[in-house]
Amino acid sequence: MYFDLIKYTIKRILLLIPVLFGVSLVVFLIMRVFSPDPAPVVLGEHASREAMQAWRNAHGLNDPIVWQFIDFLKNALTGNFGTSYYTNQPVMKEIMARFPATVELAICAILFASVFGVLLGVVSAVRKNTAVDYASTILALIGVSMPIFWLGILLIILFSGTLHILPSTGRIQPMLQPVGGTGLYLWDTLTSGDFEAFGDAARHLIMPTLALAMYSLAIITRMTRSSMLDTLNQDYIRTARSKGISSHRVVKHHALRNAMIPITTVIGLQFGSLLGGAVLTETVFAWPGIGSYTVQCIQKSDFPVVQAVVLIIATVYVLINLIVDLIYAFLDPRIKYSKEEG
Amino acid sequence: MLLEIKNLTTEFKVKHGTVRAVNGISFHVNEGEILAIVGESGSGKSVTSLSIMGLLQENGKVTGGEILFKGEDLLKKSEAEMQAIKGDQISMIFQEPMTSLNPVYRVKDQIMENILTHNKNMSKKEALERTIEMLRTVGIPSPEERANDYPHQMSGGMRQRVMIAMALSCEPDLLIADEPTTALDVTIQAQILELLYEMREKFNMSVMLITHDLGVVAEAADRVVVMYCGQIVESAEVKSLFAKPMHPYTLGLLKSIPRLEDESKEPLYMIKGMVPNPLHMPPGCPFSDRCDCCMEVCRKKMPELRPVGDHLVRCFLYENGEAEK
Amino acid sequence: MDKTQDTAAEISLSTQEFLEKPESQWKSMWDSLKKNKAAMVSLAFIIILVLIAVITAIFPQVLPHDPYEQNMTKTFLFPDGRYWFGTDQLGRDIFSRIMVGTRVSLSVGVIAVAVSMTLGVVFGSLAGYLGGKVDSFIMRIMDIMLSIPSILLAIAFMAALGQGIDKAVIAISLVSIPEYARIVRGEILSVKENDYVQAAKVIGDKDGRIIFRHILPNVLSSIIVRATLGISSAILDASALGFLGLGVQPPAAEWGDMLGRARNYIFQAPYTLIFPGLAISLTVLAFNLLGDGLRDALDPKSRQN
Repeated sequence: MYFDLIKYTIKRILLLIPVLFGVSLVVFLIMRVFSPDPAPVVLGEHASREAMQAWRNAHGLNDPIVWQFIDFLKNALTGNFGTSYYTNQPVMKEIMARFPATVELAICAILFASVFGVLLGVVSAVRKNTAVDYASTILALIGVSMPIFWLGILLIILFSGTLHILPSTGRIQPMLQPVGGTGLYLWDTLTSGDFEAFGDAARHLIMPTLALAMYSLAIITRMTRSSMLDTLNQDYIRTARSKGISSHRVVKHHALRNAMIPITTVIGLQFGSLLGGAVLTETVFAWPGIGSYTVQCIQKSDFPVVQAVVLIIATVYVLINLIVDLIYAFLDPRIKYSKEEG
Repeated sequence: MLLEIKNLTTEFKVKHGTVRAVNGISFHVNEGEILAIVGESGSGKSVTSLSIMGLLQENGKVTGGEILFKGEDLLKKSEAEMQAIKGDQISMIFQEPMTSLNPVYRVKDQIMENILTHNKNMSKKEALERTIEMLRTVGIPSPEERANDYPHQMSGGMRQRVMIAMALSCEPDLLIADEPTTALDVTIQAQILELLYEMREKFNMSVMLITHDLGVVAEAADRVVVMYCGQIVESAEVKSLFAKPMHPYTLGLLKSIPRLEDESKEPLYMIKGMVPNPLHMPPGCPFSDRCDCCMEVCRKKMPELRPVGDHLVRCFLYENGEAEK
Repeated sequence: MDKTQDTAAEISLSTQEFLEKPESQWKSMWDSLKKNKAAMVSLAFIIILVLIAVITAIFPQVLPHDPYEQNMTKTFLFPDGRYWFGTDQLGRDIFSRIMVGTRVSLSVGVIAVAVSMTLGVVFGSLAGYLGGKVDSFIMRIMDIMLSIPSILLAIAFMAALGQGIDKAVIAISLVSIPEYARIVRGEILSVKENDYVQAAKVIGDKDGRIIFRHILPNVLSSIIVRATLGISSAILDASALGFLGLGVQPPAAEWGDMLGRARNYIFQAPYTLIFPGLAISLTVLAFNLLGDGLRDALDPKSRQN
């Protein structure tokens, strides 16, 4: 019975390859082919022609385009994205230094949005048309309409500026910064027993997480509510009720399990929008992640970095969607056991 | 009497007003008997059963009457008390076996859930054994293996058997079967009815069989109640109803059944007219517009349900306890 | 390519027929919408915004102050009787700048949606109708575009295209195409299998005629809804790009850009940030409510209450 799942997984992974190829192609086209010449930006407008030409040669920008692309692909597969035009450090190194910050923020945000979104959605559905339901609908509407960066700014004004209880920028006080480890401060500080640092890292995470998660929270709440309402209308819920099971169990055991199946897809999609939103959140909170780094690099035309970041994020997103699809197939026995008929 | 319904009234709030789906009906079910409730869509037969089980939709409410089960009014019971009764003393099976079982849980888990909910001290092992026994009893081959199936891995007929196994797993006193065979093939239909019959014999259970199909009634029921527009229009023992139908509606229903032996080239009989709009019920007898024997008084006043011979009939034709026509 | 011309002709013919729909159908949609108070308020708000945008463009004198006039002696004035929303870091009247920014935001929203919708419908129709290799190819490209989170993709486009509000519009349009393409393709595919289409084929109706006469009305309804909601996300995306400094060039007034530039003054003059953000939020909220209202009015089945 499990063979189906494995075949399905393999099939999906194989399908990934052309998509990732396409993504690299698109990224390459945008960044190398359609972008303006980076030489004047990096070297300054008044640099000499020869200097610019020499610079271009050194960075392989005068090679035939097809070669450039093949090189790009070959190197990408080994994790070599060239060096930054500015720091001359390997791009991968620059990215890896900042990656954990974004990962930590994204994970916190998706957890927050999913847990509270599902909770709120379920309660709204079960208590349809009551105060809770209306409140969550309004909250969802607001969450979907407010720009992330503005929400972040408002939070800073309120909690840092007026109430002075939360820090407005950065991940942690410099003195408390953990050394080495995974780069995920919550994990590193916890595992090394440094509770003061843990608390500080947590305090720094609160507002960015809230700002980043709000949009996804709104979407997940609405989707959960509508999925639950659909599920609660199903015949098998009526059957469950006819067995004399408590309402609580009907909702938790019978309804939720079914309603969650489409919700997992929604959560997976939200991860993508979170990755995009991270760019904005990091800028507002001066969060040292790859989002804010990418924006800086775009403004400086440091294309190797931008290429790498977009490609990496796209890959992560595609992989996450694959995992979500697999979870979906796993959760729904109708797909998992579809080959067998009674 | 195991179940006694007295003057039950159930209403639904809809966009344009209130619909009275069940309008003051009274009937009873004796121990060990199969009572059929017959009527077309909209007659209120399903709503009656849902009212008994407390399974009405949000916009529905029982607004009057009593539902006496073993002498106690179910309408006055708390939710916890009802939950103890449902699945254990009164069970229900539904029309759509394809969608009435939860798709994400195995068949055995769904049946065991019923058993364990009402037998808190039973071990899982015992419950599983009981489940497999029930599956065997309802005629599912290789029950030990099939118990592990998911609903979508079974055919419609098998799923209905599973439903029956689940409903009977705690040996209820009353089984309410709401159109159990409507969604199934005719051959399976016969098997399911046969199964219900056997179960009744084996467990000495009462069955309230709801259907629109008189053929089913003839095959399976002891007594029958005919409903129209939320009211009972005739009630009798099955043999008597078929031998001597009294209410014009019953007559129409029987006439509508196409017969193989009928060699005349006449078009099939249809009761003329349509069921009235529940929001705009006519004064008087709801069947008046469609009735061949309609009299003036029928349009103005509602007839009472009266005993006529060994039937109960609601019709002005029988006002004096006997046929006037 | 004959088929494509055919397709285009069918689309325009059916659009005509759709637009000439009997009065009563449009009227009943309008009646349903009227009952939705939130949607009506939003519609009124949007109309006011449009009026503001138009009037300030034609009669800039209407504004209390010149939105571009800098006055270094009047920087960071707290909102008062003269400067209703206060002044920014260059002494400009925030209220006037917000009024002028209305034009930018609305036009970006509408244009971006118009472009992406048109292209999306075209690609989706071709993919759905022609099927086979064309379908695979088009949808593969759409999938690739959907693999990259939209803001990131927009930023990447901007990096290539350079700065400026017009490039921002192009970037946002491109990013949204896959969504519309998918809807249209989905509708076409699902209707292709429908019984009445099969029935019509049996009778002998021409393929294109059936499909577009039956699909288009349905598609147009959901597209109108998506477009309204699309305007709200376009405005959000545009303001995000503006915030990052990738949108308008100074001294143009755009809400996101105003937010981005005032960031440093967050503690000393929070009103420089609050009002532009409020403008964005309220506008987006209005389009969202209107879009939801349209969805309920045009397709009662989707209502969850």
